[in-house]
Amino acid sequence: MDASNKTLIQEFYTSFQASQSDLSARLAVLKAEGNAPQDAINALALDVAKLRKDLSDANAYLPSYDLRQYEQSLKSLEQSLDDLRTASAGKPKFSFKRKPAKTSACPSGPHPATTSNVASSSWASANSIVLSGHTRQRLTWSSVSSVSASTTDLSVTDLDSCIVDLCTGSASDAFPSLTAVHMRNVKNSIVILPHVKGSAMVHDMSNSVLAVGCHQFRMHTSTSVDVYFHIDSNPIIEHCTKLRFAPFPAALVEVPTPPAAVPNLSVQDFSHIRATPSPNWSVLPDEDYLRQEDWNRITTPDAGDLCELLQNFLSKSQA
Amino acid sequence: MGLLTIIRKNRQKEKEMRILFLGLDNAGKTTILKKLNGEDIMEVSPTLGFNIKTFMHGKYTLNVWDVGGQRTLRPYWRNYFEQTDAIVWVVDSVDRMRMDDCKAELHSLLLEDRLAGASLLILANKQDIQGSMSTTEIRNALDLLSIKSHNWKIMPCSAVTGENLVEGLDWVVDDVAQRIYYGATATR
Repeated sequence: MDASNKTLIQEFYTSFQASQSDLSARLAVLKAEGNAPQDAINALALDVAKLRKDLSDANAYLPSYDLRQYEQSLKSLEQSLDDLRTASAGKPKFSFKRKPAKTSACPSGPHPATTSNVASSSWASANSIVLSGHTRQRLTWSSVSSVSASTTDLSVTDLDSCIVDLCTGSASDAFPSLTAVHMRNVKNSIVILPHVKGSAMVHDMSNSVLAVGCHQFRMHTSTSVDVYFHIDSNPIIEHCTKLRFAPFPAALVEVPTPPAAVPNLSVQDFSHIRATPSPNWSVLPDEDYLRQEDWNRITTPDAGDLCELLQNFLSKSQA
Repeated sequence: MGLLTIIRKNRQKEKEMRILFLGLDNAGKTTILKKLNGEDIMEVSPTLGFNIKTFMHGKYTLNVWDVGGQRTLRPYWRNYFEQTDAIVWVVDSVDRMRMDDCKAELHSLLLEDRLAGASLLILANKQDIQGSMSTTEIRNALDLLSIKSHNWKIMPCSAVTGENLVEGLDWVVDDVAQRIYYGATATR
């Protein structure tokens, strides 16, 4: 046995001991709590799996006696983890669901993987436009804190019963042009955006009207939305229902959009990968298409009660 | 076919690398590849399935697999893991809302046995946009410092301007070459 192997074995021994004592301490804590949170259990399971992987990686250089010892202690760890899991209502190990911001503060040892329970809100932006957390309001460029840059990105989150109009005035140089749009959790609203140079990405929108021009368009987990768009590529939808698509209304074009504005309505539905037409979207029929005067009413600041306006126009999309 | 032909073929194969481009949808994987290849990036549509690109980089032939990142497609990523030399994980630096999603996907990917040992380059794309996150922010958001299983590096880049794309590939190729040749001399 050469020297390098010996140091490897030595290193593995210390790291294994450290992880093992850390994991068993965390197991004990969770067990004592009784009804342990799923997140904590999953994090623990992940670390146990990591340790298992480390062990199998070290297979090549560990002496067989050591290997058996490690194997045994790892087995007992896995066993107690299993017990804990069955005790607190079994759930599949890994799911694609988006978890709410983690609040569980499981006591973590030297493992770096668990020390990062940072809520997603901490990635707040400094230099982009954010419209977030409004109810029953009209939002225009004047509601946006000014951004010094000439181009920026926009994120629109957690709106209910709002009219967002960033199209009016977008031609002037006073406002930055948008290069990316991200939207999440917008309900019962009318959102009008100017032409975006990059892509638009929409999550969890419902019972709304959206008008946007962009290079790429993706919409996820949304329902009952009428989308008016100008797009240069194929739009994508995934896990959506009751969507209706129409070309971007000419009444709203303030910035001259690129030519060849042929409405591209070959929407790709990833939830329906078959030859048959997708049941999740359709072309907006003419009678429900909002006319020039409708858009004028929506974009004029003092055109009556906001709720009435919304009710008026959103009822059409619910037909 | 003589012995010489076989040896030649073998040598040729040695100079080939298989690189997997992965990441959430809207990250810009296809756009980066098109830009590297000198194609028009204004015509990029969201990827249905996958694209394969083969190009020369220095003395190596790169086989690049660009797999779509839509949620529905992610379970199929594993079909492409075999014999992967390097993973390029592309991140949309503007998509603050999905950083947690991005982190979860990346870390579950790295547990995959068939990817063990592959070099990992994280490209923080869309740096041309003003409000984008810096590489330090992304490194923390994705918890990259906890990655011990793979040789990794994070680089800021922009598919629109082409910034750092070639440099990124340089790192990938160097890292893979070092590993393969080092491995060959150390074990034999």
